Amino acid sequence: MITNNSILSNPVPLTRAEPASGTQAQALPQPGAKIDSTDVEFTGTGGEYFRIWIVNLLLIIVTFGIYLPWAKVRKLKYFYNNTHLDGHALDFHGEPKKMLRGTLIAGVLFAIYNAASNFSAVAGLIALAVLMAIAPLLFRAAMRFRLANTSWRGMRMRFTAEGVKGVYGVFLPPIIVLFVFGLILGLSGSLAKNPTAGFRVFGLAMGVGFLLILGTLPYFFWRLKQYQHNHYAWGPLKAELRSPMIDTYSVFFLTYLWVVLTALFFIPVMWSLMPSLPQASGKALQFLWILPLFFVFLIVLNILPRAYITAQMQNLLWSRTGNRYFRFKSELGVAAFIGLQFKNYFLIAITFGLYWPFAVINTLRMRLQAISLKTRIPLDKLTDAARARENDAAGDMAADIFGFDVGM
Amino acid sequence: MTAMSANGASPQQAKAFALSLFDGRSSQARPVLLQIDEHSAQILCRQTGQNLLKIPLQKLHKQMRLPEGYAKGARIIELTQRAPLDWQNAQLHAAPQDREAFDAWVRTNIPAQANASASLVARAQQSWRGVAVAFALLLASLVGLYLYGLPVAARGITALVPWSADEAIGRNALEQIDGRWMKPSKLSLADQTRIRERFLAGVKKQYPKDTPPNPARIPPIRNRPQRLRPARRHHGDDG
Repeated sequence: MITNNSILSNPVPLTRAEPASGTQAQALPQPGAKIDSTDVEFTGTGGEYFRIWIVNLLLIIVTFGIYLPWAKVRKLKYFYNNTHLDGHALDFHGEPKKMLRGTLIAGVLFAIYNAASNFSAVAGLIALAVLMAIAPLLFRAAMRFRLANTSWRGMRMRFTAEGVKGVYGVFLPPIIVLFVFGLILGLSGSLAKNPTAGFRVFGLAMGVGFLLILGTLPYFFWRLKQYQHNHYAWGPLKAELRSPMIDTYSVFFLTYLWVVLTALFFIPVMWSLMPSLPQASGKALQFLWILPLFFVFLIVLNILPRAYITAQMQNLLWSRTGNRYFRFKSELGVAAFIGLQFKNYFLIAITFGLYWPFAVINTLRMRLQAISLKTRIPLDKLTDAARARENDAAGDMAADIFGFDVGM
Repeated sequence: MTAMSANGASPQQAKAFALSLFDGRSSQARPVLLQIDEHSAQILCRQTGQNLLKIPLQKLHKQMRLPEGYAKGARIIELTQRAPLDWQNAQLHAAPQDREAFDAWVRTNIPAQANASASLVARAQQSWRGVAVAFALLLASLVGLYLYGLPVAARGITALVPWSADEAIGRNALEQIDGRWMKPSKLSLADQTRIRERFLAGVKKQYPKDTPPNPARIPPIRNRPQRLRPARRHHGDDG
């Protein structure tokens, strides 16, 4: 993509024009004793994003999805250009035309998977296995692409993970646990001849498998976050995540506790409603009472634990990311964040989804403005020795479509 | 740290605008001027006046990407991968306080084709009227897809799926329904016959002239599209 024809119209190459201030290949200065703190500022508004969102939706639909990468670039550019740190905004540089390939690849993969699972269960399973086998590669490609196309103060970020060992080390164990879970379920179902005993064995296997997944999930999540946060880099600064596994476990178990508490609150209430209704009014009326309550239960179950874990994990992970030169701090109010999510979902429901972009912006604003950056060196005179490499744009869209959250 | 406001009181008249240059290799800003004349855009060093880069106007849209200009978003001009070798990934930042002046300056000085904020999509996104039109079109296209796109897609897919697969899926589904959910009827033979006859009478009423499709006489493949076309609309026929 390099065109040299314009070199004639370029009187002085930039490198030579640079003042000889000795900034080339400089080592990092000694970190000073004084710590500067600067807050992240987010200036996006719901109204503005609503307009972008509507136009994006229209164009995605009338182009049958071809517009997806353009929509994504416009959205990310809007988010990034409104995220200011120390007076300078982030910017996103992905080129939609290059990202289109990823959209098409993901579309083809989806079509193959759909066709295979329609054809037979075995074919569907094989397609799923293939998808799972390439998912880690897609994830890594997406991380690299996203970081390489994100800049602050003109310098691109990098995702420094090399090779495929690391990413498979992160993704294979949970895949194996899921596989073992499925195997136990399948075996326990087919082993028992007696239906009642079979059901009991099946239930037992289900319970054990479920506990296995709940117990290992924090570990896998922690490994994934280690993999991500240890490979973020900007210029000469490489991030490190220094958070012991036990902290992630405690956040997850508190989240599980919230699920249990929600159930403990709602289930007795629903139970107590059942016999209190007059027998004569029939079953229909009982459902009339219990059904809305059940929906509220599901909604609370869907919002509360998720909001809780999002806020707690953000505070935990971003307050432990940095090195001796710089460090982030995240002070997101957990109760405020949970309250915001309830408000968001309520307004989304009563506006038939039109509140969605406002909810996205509100959430982003609260999450981003909770973050501050502490530095012990000036950030305005750093040079990038290892330039960010332009990475495969295909992975980004493909991973996006398969629902990976590359969010940072 | 930001660009000085060398940007005059009247941005429409000033041919040059003060910006901060980031070269992509360091986080250090350099004060520069972006200057536009009839033939080219130039980046000038604000301290020495040295001409750092000159881009002919007709190449501007390929080498520079202008910001779309949201209310409080940063105004960052990107130099693209097609910019001269040393300039790829370089950026020009306007100071936050210069936002409005920058937008006005871009509107008057940068040719429309190089200006991202002048594109139709960007303009639609900037105005509530454009968004209202987009919203109406969105609803219309959703309704249109449901009314016309879905049947066309269904017909297209049935035409593409091989006959054997179609038949296999149908047979499979029927077998599953028969095997899993259906049990032999416990009604007396008389009751069964009565119900069957009532059903057949209903079918006759629906197809007064034509006989209903008989599974024993499936037409040959070449007649298939005709068979697959939904029956002419009967009221209360389906949900």
